[in-house]
Amino acid sequence: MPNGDTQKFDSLVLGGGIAGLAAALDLADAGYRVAVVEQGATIGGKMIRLSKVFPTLDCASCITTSKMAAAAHHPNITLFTMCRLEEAQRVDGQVRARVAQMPRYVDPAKCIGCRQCEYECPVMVPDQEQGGFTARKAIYIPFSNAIPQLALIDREHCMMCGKCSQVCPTGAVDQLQVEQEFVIEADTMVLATGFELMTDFPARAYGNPGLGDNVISSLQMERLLAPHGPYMRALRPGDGKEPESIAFIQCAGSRDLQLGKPYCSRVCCMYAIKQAMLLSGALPLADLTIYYMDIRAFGKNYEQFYNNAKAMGVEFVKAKPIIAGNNQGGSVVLRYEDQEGGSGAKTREHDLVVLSLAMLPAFAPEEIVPVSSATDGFLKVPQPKLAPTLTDMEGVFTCGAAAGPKDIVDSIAEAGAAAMGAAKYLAARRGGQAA
Amino acid sequence: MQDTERKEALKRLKQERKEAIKVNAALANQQKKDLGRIKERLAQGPATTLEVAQDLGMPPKEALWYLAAMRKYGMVMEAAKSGDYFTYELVPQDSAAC
Repeated sequence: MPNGDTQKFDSLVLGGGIAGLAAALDLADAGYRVAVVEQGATIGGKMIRLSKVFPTLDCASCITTSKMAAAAHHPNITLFTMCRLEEAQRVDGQVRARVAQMPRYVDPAKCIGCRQCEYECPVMVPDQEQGGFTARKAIYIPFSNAIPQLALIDREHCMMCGKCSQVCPTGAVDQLQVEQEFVIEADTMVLATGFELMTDFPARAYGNPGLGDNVISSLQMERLLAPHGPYMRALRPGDGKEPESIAFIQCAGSRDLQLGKPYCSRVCCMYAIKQAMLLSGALPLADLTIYYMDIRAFGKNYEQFYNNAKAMGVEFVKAKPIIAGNNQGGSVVLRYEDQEGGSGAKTREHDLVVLSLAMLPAFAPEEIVPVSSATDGFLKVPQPKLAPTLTDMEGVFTCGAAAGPKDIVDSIAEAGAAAMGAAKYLAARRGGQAA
Repeated sequence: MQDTERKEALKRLKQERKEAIKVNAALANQQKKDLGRIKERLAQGPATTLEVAQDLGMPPKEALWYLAAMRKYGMVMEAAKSGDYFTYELVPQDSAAC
């Protein structure tokens, strides 16, 4: 796209995760032209990286891929991947967004997604799409059902050996690409910027020596459980052992005033239960323990899901353990006080420990979009009861985890509400005329 | 952009990135050696992550990372289980992807 080019749409959706895609599809189906701006190399958000979803245990990839494909092929939707929102302001009644197209170093018009470049590249890099448990190459396609299926070069790790160029059948590699800026003008905007998991996890919260090779995050466990995960089965990453004892520590960062995260992340109880149930299927002899503060199973069929897990033998211990160390065999030593079982402090070892880490906002609007954040850092919704998708900027809506931790069901419901709000706003601006 | 201009621009870019290229080339070189050693070990027969790590003096986590990558790119496949660990063996060369 030429530098400084301006494109006009009815609505701009920021974020190509499940909430953003659902909102974009609703608006596009109503006849509005939608731009989806996604910072990553593929759409699909966190959901495409999950194994299954609670409480139905449906395949996450199967559900998300169809939404991704629908958005990619919709005549009213234009996807802008690897695009960063620099600034959005309301100018002359329009949202005017300055967007930076980050370079792929691969010409999207020429790349056919054959991955020959990836196989030939000699540099291996930890594959964050797989929790860092395996490698990708310095030139790569993020994953097999990524949309778009286009390669990109990780410039930081590229040694410019030229092997990718030599094998590319279409001459798509372009090391000379540079960042380009363009403008999107739209009547409305939907902020669907999602969440990130806490990463700067201070050792003081869980004791020294802190995290070891066999202490992983919940999203890493999702990859271990996914059919196309790094090991294609649940193994512990420290040494490849099939774990016999797996523990989940709930509220790891959430509901913790010391860490400045007093809020509940809302989904951790249910995904830990889901992961434990999936593990009990994959590893029938494994001991599965969930250390919890209290179980929050508030959605439809969630309580039944929790009861099913207990009936399947998942052990629930009301405690907030610390990681006391690792033994020589690589097991993780937990120390805790069982608040229901009594008898003081206890010590227990597990082959693998999963931290249900706090959800954090993925987008800080300051100096980019004139919408406010709440004290927890998520987007502020001034009317949380009557208009939970409305921000404090005219014609700008939000949905999904952008405004606070939320599960997939609520994110999609909210996406529909945000799309309806945006459609009503568009119709009102056009004198009551729908698209 | 003309071919000669592109070549000149690429040359300048390589010069600008000289230090990063050096670091990444060293990394790729080490990885090539490690992959070679793992292939040599597996050529003797299937092995678990721990056996590979022990025989090559490599941390088990790193051995597993390499084995997972080799599996992803079609160089090794999972074989029989040995205790709590799976063994890995080389994919026959005529069917390996790289």
